[in-house]
Amino acid sequence: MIRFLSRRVLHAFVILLLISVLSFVFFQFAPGSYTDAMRLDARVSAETESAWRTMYGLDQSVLTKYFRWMRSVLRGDFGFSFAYGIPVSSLLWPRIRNTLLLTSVALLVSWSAALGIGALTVVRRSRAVESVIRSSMALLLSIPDLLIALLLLLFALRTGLFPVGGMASLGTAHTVIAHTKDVALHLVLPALALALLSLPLLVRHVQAAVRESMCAPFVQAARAHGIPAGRLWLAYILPAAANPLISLFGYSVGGLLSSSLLVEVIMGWPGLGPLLLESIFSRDVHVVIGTTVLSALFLIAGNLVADLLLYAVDPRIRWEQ
Amino acid sequence: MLKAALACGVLASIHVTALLADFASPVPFATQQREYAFAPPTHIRWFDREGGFQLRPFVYARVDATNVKRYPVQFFVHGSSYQLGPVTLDRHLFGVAAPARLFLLGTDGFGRDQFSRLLAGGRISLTAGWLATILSLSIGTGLGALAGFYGGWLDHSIMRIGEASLTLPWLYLLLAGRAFLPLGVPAASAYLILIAVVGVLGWARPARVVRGLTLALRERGYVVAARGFGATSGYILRRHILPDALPVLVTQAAILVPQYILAELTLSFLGLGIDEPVPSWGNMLAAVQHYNILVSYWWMLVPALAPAAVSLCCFAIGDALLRRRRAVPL
Amino acid sequence: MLLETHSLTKEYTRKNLPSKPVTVRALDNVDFRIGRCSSLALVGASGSGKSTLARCLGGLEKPSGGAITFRGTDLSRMSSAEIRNYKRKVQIVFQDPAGTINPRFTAASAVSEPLDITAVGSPDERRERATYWMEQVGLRTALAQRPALELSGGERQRLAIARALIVNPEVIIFDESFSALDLPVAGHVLALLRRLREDYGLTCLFIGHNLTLLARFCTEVAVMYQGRIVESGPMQQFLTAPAHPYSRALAGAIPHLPVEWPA
Repeated sequence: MIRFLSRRVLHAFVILLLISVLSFVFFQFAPGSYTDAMRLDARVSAETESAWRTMYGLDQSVLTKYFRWMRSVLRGDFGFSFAYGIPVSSLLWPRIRNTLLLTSVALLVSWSAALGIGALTVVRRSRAVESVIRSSMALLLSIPDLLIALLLLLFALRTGLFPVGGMASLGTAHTVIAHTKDVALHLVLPALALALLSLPLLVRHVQAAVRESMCAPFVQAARAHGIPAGRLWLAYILPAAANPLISLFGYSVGGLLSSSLLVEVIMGWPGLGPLLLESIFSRDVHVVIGTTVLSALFLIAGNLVADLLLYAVDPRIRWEQ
Repeated sequence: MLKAALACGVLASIHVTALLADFASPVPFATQQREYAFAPPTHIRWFDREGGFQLRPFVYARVDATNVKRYPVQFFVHGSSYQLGPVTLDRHLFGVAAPARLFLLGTDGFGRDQFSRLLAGGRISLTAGWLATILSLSIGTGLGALAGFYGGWLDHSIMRIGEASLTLPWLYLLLAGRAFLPLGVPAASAYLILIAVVGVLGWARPARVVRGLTLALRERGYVVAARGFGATSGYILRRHILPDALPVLVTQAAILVPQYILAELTLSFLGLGIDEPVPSWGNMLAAVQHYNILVSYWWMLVPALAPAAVSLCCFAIGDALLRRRRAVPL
Repeated sequence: MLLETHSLTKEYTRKNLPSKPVTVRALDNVDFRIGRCSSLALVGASGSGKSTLARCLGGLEKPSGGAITFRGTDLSRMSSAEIRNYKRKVQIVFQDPAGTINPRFTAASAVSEPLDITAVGSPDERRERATYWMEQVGLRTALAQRPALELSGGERQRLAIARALIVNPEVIIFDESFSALDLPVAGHVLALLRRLREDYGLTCLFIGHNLTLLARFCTEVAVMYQGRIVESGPMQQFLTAPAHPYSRALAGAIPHLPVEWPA
């Protein structure tokens, strides 16, 4: 178990290192830098600009830059944001918290919905239900993520049922309870959008997994033995279906993060997405790299959790070790 | 099968319409009719103000009650001239006589006809999707075959880098990739950059598929025999591996084309893709980032339905291809 | 000697991280020789290293130790042009009838492939030679334009043999190639090979675990057991007085066949 885990962590570490190196190398070739905007400002003289470049080490070699960045990562700073003038980590932490809050709520919602819908279609075996669900999922899958988020936003704007934009209203948060309620209300719309976006893929996989495990020989045998339906589901079908679904869980984190970026930008949720976009426009290199590496870290963490779950659930993997 | 055929038909007609955008749209996409800013879709009528039925559909020039002159919808009308290949034409598929206007999908804030822009934007978005797909598949096939064929450290390093790019969520990867390249460039370069970024960053998945296939085929008797006859790697790739990889690549294309069209949509929406004044499905949507436009002018959302139709068709075709591949064992 | 091995050794190492790598010795100091014009049966149980030896002889795998010489020249000292020439002169026909011919190729193009690769003659000449060799191995020329996918296992196997013969090789190694053929067809192909041996001095190395067919055709025999050659000599002597216990089991398992092979 420890060996299994340590190998995965080591692997993840190597991948993260590779991503950081690649992004540094690519940024070396990137045209434009943060000081470009400075040059347009008539008040900034050429000397000021070059002094500024020296101060932040922009004129050094890529190797030096990388090692400076590495040192700052080890210090926990993740580099320095030119635009904000503070260490990147202090920019990232609140954003990570917000993105995690949004994605975990959406994860919970979409998975409960997918399990419900998936099980429903397989169990009820009603043609009408199945075709309605199948076509609505196909539709949901083909409509651009953008449009779904925009339509939900439009709905909220028209009805005024939910607050729109940001994650808290000004001046309402006097008490902890009021604040929590306010954030929860702001959360409804983006979380719903995110859950809807990830739903079709999940439903498809849940259906496939449940259907397959229902056809498995040992389930058929158990049914032939006359084991009651409830026990059949709990003891035979669901554990067998759990395996591919847990792998899917790890995989779905990536899709969720991608969609989350878009939803955050459209709905104005102050997560990692808007930060990344803003830093791209201002050429704030360290923030771009920090955000990118962090998103990879999330995905890896999701996969690691899935692996651990698999390890806990599936006896075969334990035997292999 | 019927569904897939239907999907192919719809997809083909979307492409043809986009290709013939100049002919199918009543006005050039750049024409600004400022007095018609945010005009809603024109109401095409069969009944006049008196309730009388008209055989030819028509429009009114202005929506005030005093103007009762009918302007019938005409086909193959003369309008502004455009180039179609080597010839200059001035016929348009449909239109109405001035001073009436026919905006099928309304206009944007500058009074530009949304329908014309949708067709012209389709040309950009669809070709971007296809070119990026071709780029991804070529890079993926090349690197995947290389990795599977030669194995060893080459395989290892190619696959590790691929894994690293798959470890990033797609949109983050796309944005990070876009961040390396210049911003605020002319439309043509922006178009090429978009294709390059999307196409290059998507290489890993097809590469994986092709690598697996190559690994399996490499040990087949006929490949070993061909190598024994002194065949070069190029020959083996061309004659033995690519023909087997082709159906897999076509299936991949059915997945990648809609994904890349959506990538264009998202990047241009976020301001990192194709810029005004050239329309694309993505930058047509960028306007609705303002809440007031989103709430007041619903037709500004319509461009998002075009990629939805393309995706729906591609998914149907992809499903059919997958099912056929499973049915025919080779 | 035409083809010889000197204490040939082949080891496979499987990385088994994080534990130690596992090494399997498939060939263990094999000394083996085939003279020109001879026909030799190499027999042994599955996993005894026969196929590995064949692949090494065919130049498809590099030995871990020892040497292979062809007409006295060490394979490892050959230039790449010489190796290419060697690979043409020593042909292998494999065991798996489904995998040995690309199912997408037509029968004729599968047979002419070696010529296409080296671009010998015009396309028409190549096609002509392909149909000639197809006829020689007993395939109707009507099959020439059919995709290999539609042919039976035996037909594909004969295509593979025709493909090996088309380059005028000096040695052909048949790696279990006859398992997929039924007896009359196998007899027909063996008769063809006998003729080629007499006319052109073709050398044949048959690899198999079944001596039934080979006993009548081959003049010499070598027995492999756990990566070593435990016995070799003339077939007649082997059949009457096998020395090694495994050889005795093999020789005793040959059924008596009253039929004569067609000459």
